[in-house]
Amino acid sequence: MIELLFTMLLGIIAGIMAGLLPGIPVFLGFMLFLPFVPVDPLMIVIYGIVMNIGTQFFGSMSALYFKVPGESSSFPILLELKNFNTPEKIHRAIKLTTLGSLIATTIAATGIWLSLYTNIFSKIYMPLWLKLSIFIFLLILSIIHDRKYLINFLMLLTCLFFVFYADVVIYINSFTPQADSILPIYYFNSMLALIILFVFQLIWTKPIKLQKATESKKSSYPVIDSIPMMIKYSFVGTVLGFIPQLGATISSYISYNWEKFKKRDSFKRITASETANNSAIISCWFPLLLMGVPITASELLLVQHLNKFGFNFSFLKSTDAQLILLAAMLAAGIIYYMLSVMVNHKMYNILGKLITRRWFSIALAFSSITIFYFIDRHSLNFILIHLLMFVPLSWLINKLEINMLAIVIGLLLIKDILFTFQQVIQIYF
Amino acid sequence: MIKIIKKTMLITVLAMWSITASALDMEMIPASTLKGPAGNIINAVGDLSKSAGFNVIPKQMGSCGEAVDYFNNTKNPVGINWSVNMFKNSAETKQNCIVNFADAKPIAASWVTYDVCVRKDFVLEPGKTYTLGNGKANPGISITEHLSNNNKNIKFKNVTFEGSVQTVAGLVNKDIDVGYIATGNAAPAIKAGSIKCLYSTGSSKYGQKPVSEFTGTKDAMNEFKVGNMVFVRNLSAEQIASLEKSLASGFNSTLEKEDFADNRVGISKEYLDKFIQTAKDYAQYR
Repeated sequence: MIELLFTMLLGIIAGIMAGLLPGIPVFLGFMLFLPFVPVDPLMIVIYGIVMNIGTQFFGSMSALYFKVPGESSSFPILLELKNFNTPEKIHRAIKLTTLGSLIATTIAATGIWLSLYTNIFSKIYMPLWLKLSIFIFLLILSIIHDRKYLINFLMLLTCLFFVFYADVVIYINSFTPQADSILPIYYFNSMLALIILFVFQLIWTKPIKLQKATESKKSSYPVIDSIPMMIKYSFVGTVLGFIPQLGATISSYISYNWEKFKKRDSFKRITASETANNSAIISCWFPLLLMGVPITASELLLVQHLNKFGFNFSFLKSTDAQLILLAAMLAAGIIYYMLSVMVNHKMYNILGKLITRRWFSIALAFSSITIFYFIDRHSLNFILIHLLMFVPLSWLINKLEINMLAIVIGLLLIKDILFTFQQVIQIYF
Repeated sequence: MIKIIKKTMLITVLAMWSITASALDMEMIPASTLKGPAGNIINAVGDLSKSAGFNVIPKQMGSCGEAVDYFNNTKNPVGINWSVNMFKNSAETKQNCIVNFADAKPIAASWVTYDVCVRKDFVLEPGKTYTLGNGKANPGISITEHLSNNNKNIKFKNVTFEGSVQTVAGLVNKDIDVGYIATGNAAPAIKAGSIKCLYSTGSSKYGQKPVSEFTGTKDAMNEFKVGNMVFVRNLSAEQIASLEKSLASGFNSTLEKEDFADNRVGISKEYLDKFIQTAKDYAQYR
């Protein structure tokens, strides 16, 4: 029970941070506290989902209060901000988006639980070619992301170098007597490399100056009549969440534009987009939890972390685990809802000040790495070699403003892609 | 407010450090993958040794070379599940997958039989070619060639999987037609009724027939078994004695339930030498 509460707390803090701060994408938020999460597959999954839910709740809070979108799926709010020009309207927008998010969370979470409980999808399999297609889609996405094709491609190649360095050196050394090995062999730990790359971003990045939170004032405008619409967009988001990596963003834009096309007001537009992205951020876990196939960067990180300890998803066959997962998702939704609605702009000002402080970033960065050191029990040498290699790379990534997706895919997925490719060739050719 | 948060964070981090740093743990790594028989053996050691105060932490490495490198060089208490396939894997991957036997203490051993399994409703038809899933640590090419040499003119095409657990998943998912699966890892799917195992290299618990009935040959691969040995390092003589004592009563019964054969705790010099010789002999397989 203590483990569960601790995991929930970590997930909620990571979700709030990744949601509020535009510099922290969902998967960086996931990495931040991962080393702190108890080594238990259920706890790791709960942490991942709770954190993901929080990013969508607080992504919209960031847009409404600080006028910066915490997540890419919160951009529609920015487009409508000019229409929320009084504290009462801001409060009404908060009430609508958070209630929509809560309903979406409830529907998508219940959907996941029902699927696990009834085992309804047990006869549906994901063939290897489809798994490979999803992986290749993610690979292409990592290259074309942000339209920095060449830089992203070079980053992928750099990651390939690290992933296959030991194999290549061993191969080269095999042509020489053992004593005269040409190059030293280092086995790089992808997760440690990623943690270093991610957390040092917090140090290199100039502290974001969040402006003073926009004032909100309680309004008595009813939100009940928006519930049918919220339910509708919860289902829309649930379906669109299956799109690899982009599910939440696409569902948000589609829902927003559909309401705009129907000439509905700004409140309805953002309610639709925020409801859809919340259900999408949960439903994107379906392929992983039911078929073991990750379709987002944070799921990839989670799978890598589980693999390290030899865990798989068979623990979800237990009805207790299913119920705990459902309870955690619903509780997270309610906690996020209460935090969003009850906490006013004054609290956001304090929170904004705290998480944008330099010492806070540095403390987070170092505690993440040291906890990893203790948990993984690598020698200090091993950690230092990783720091020497990846701290400069992290600086370069920050300087060139490279998107981290290419790095996550390059370090974590490339071996899987090649292995699955080999299997597909063996089966079909 | 910020000062209070600062102090709370500091106290939390310090408390977590002290908890993590004071734990008495032993990492246990497989030379192959945790998603196969090695995972079962490591879990059994973990469960049984709890009573002796050990906290076994299973840890997956990227390759046998990395696992052995870590085992041979770490300063912390560590264990490895090393199999008779490792001389073969060393030769194939050019990595050093051989434990430094002079420095490592063997504490337990166990053998794995393999089954030829198909989906519940699947029938092997003579004259056809089928895909055969195999764990990547196994000599896939030799196994495929051996099974393809049968009296029903059935041919097989090798498909490599991470381990036996993934091979079962590939079989159930209809990615492959036949799986060469460790009996212990096939058992849950057999019990669930999703697969059936027709032939085995040493088990008849689930109605399997000997592989020799399928191949019709007298090849040694008809009885192909993979031996696993657990080695530890950086433990004192007392700790090793305590670990062996904790395994003595339950290791055999626990693994027997999971369809492992010839399980033993306390490895003699003769047994170790014989085990290493078997591993060297297995290097002939591909």
